[in-house]
Amino acid sequence: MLFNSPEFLLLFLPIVLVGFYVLNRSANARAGSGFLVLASLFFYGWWEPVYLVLIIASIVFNFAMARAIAARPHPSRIAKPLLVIGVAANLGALGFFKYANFFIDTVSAFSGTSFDSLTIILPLAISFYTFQQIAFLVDVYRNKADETDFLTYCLFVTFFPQLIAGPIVHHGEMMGQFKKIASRGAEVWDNLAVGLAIITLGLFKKVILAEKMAFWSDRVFNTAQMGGHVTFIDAWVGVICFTLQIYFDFSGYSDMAIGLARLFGIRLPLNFASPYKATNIVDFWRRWHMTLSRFLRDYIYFPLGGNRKGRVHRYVNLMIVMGLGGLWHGAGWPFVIWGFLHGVYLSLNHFWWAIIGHGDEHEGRRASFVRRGLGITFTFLAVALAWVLFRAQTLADAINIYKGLFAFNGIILPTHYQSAMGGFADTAGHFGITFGALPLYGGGMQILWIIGVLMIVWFFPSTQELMSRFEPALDYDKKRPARIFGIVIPKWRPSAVLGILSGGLSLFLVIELLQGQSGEFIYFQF
Amino acid sequence: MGFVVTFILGITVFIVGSELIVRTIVAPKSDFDALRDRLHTSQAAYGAFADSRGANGLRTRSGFDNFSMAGDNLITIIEKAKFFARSGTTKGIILQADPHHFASYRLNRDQLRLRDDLFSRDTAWLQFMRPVYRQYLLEYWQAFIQRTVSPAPIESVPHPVTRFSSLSPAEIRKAASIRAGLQTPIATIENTTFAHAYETAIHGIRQAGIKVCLVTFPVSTVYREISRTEPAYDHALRYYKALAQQEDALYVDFSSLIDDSLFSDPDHLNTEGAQALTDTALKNCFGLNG
Repeated sequence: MLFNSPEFLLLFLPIVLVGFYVLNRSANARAGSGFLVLASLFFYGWWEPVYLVLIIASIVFNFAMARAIAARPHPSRIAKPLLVIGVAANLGALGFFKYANFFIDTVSAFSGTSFDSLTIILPLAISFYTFQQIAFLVDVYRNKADETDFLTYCLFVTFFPQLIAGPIVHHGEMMGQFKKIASRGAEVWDNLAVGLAIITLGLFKKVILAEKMAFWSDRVFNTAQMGGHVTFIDAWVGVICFTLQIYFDFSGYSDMAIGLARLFGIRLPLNFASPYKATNIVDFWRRWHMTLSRFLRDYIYFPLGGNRKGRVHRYVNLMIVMGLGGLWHGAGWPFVIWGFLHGVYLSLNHFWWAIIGHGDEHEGRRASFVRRGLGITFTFLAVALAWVLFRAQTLADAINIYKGLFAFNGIILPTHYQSAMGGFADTAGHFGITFGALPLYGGGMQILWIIGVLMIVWFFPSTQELMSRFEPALDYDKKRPARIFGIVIPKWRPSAVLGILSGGLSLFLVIELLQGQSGEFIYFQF
Repeated sequence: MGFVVTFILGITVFIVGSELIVRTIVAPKSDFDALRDRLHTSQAAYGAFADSRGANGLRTRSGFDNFSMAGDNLITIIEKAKFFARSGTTKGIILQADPHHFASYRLNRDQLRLRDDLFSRDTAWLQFMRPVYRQYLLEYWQAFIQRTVSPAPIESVPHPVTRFSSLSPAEIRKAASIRAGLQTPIATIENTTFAHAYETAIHGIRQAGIKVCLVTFPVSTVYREISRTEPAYDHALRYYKALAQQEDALYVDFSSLIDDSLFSDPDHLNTEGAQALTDTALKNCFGLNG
C-alpha cells in the first residue's frame, strides 16, 4: 500500500486513525499501541504477505539479541560476539535479499561464465528496518540504549508512517514518544490539524510538482533506455526535470511521513531541509536524507576513524562511506558510482576548504549574495549531473545522457527557431547546430514550469518553516522565519478558510491519483 | 478542532460542487455518453476508430459510425474496435495508423479506467468520479468560477470555420514544429506492448472476416515537412504498411491528401476538411460512395 494510493488515504488511514483514538480513550494506551502495530503489519503485508514472516522474525531476533547483550556486562567476552552475530545476521539478510543477484551478475560479468540469477523479490523497506535495528543493537552494546518493552520495540520498527521509506528513526528519539502518546484534549486536535495540513502539502508536491517534472524527465531517460540518441537540449531538460522530480518526490514523501506520524501524536526527525538551497556539497548532505547521513556518519564514518587520522584518510573514509551509501540505494553499479562521485565531491569540498583555510561559514547565511548564489548554482549542477547515474537503468544509458549533456549527440533546435534566428541560423550551422523535430520541447509553457518550480525550490519556505509554530519535526527551531523571495511571511496557523481549502485540495489530489499517472515514491524502491 | 471540522467540510464542498458542475454543465455538452451508447447499440456495417484526428476528421453517416475520441491511445482504439467487431453486423473497420501513437507521451498514458467506463453499461453514481470527467476537474472549477465572476455574453453568431492557413508563416511553423517534435515516435516501436496489442487485434478482426483499413490521417504541409526530417516517422509509417500487408489489410496514407486551408491546426482537419476526408476514406477503404 502506497501513501499516495487512494486505498491508503480513503480507507486504511481513516479506519486506523479512528480505531487508534477509540482504543486509546476507551481502553488504554497499550491497546492503542498494539492496534497500531497490527495496522502497520497489515500495511506492510498488503504488498506481499509472505514477507511479514521476514519482518516479524527480524523484530523478534533483534529484540532477543538486544536483551541478551543488555543482560551481560560489556565489553565482555560474550557481549561482543553477540553483537557481531546480531549485526552479521542483519547484514546477511539484507545482503541476500538485496545484493545476491547483483553479486552473481558481477561475478558472471568478470569471470565470463554465466551464472543463473536467483528469483528473489526485494522485501519492501528491508534497507530501512535493518539499519534501524543495527543502530539499536550497537547502542545497546555501547550502553546507550535499552528497551524491555517488546510492544514499544515493535512499534519503533513497524510504525507505518516511517516503515517503508524512512526517515531512519533512532530509538533514542522514538521510544519515549511511543510511551506517552496524547489521546485527548486540545493537543490531539492540534496534532490532527498540523498532520492534515502537512499531508496535503506533501500530496501537492508529489502529485502536481513531482509528476509534472516526471512527465518530461521520463521521456528523456526512456528514450536513452531504448537506445535513442538524446541531444543537447533534450538531455538538459531531462536532467533538470529529474533533479526537480526527485526533490519534490522525496520532499512530498517526507512531508507525508511527518504528517501521518503527527496524526498519531508522534514527531518524526527531519529528513529533508531544502537541500537545493545548499551552498556546497557538505551542506547538501546535511539537508538531503538527513537520517541516512546521520546513520552513515555515526555507524560507519566515525568507526572508520572519521577525520581523526589525517586528511588523506578522511578522503578515503568519505569515498568508502558514500560508496556504501550508493550501494544502500540500489544493487547496481550506477548507484555505487553515484555514491563514489558524491564521495569525490565531498573530498574536493574539504580539500578546497583546507586550501583556502576556512570552512563553510564563508558560504553560509553571512556570505555575500553573489558568493551564496554561485555556491548554490554549482552545488545544484554537481548534484544534477550525479543524478544521471541514479536515474539511468544502466551505465550505457547514463553515458548516452552524458554525451547529450556535453553535446556529443549533437545540438538540435526546434525548426521554428531557424526563421526566428535569421542570419544567425547559418552561423549556428557552422557550430554543428541543426534544426529539426525535438521530442521533448514543450514550448514556452515547459520553460515557465521549470523556472516556476526552480523559484519554489530556491525562494520559497520549506514545509517546516511554514509550520514551525507547531514544531512539525523533532527538535525544530520554532523561531525560524518563513520567507518568500527574502520577505518574511506569516506562518501557518489553523483557520476555517485554510481548513476548507486544504480539505478540497486534498480530495482533488486524491482524485488526481485515481488517474493512475502518479507513480510510486522513488524512495519506496530502496 | 475547528480546522479538522472545516477540513471535512472542504471535502464535502468539493464533492457536492464537482458533482453539480459535472451534472448540470459538463455532462449535457459531453459526447462521451452518446458515443458510449452508440458503441453498445450500433448496427452500422462500418466503423472508424482513432483519436482527435479521427474525431475531427470523420463524420458519422448512414451505415458508418465514427467512434473516434480525442486523447484515445492505441490500446483504447483497438479495444473499442474489438468491441464493435463483436456486434455481428460489422463488415469493415477503419483503424488509425499514425506515427504519433508511438510517441512517448502517448505510450505513457494509461486509459484502463476510461475503457472500463466505456465498455460498462452501468453509470457511476457520482458522475464527477468517472475517468472522463475527473481528469478535467480543475479546468471545470476554473471555468465555473470564471463564469460566475464575469458571465460571458451569449453568442448569437455561429463560429466561422477555423483555418490553420490563415495564421502567419512564422506562427504556422512554430505550431507545427512544437507538435511534430512532441509527437515524434520512439525508435523501437515494434518492441512496445502497444504494437503487440495492435498486431494481435488486427489479426483477430481479420480472422473474423472483417475488412480492416489502416489509415494514416492527413497533416498540414509544414507538419509533414518537419516530421520527414525525423527518421522515426518514416520508420513508423513503414511499420504500418508492412503490418497491413502481413495481415491482408488495406493501408492508405492520407497524410498529404488535404489542402492546408482545410486544417484547423497543424494536424487536425476543420469541418470542411472532415467532409472531404470522410468521402475519400470510405471510398478508398471500402469502395463506398457518399
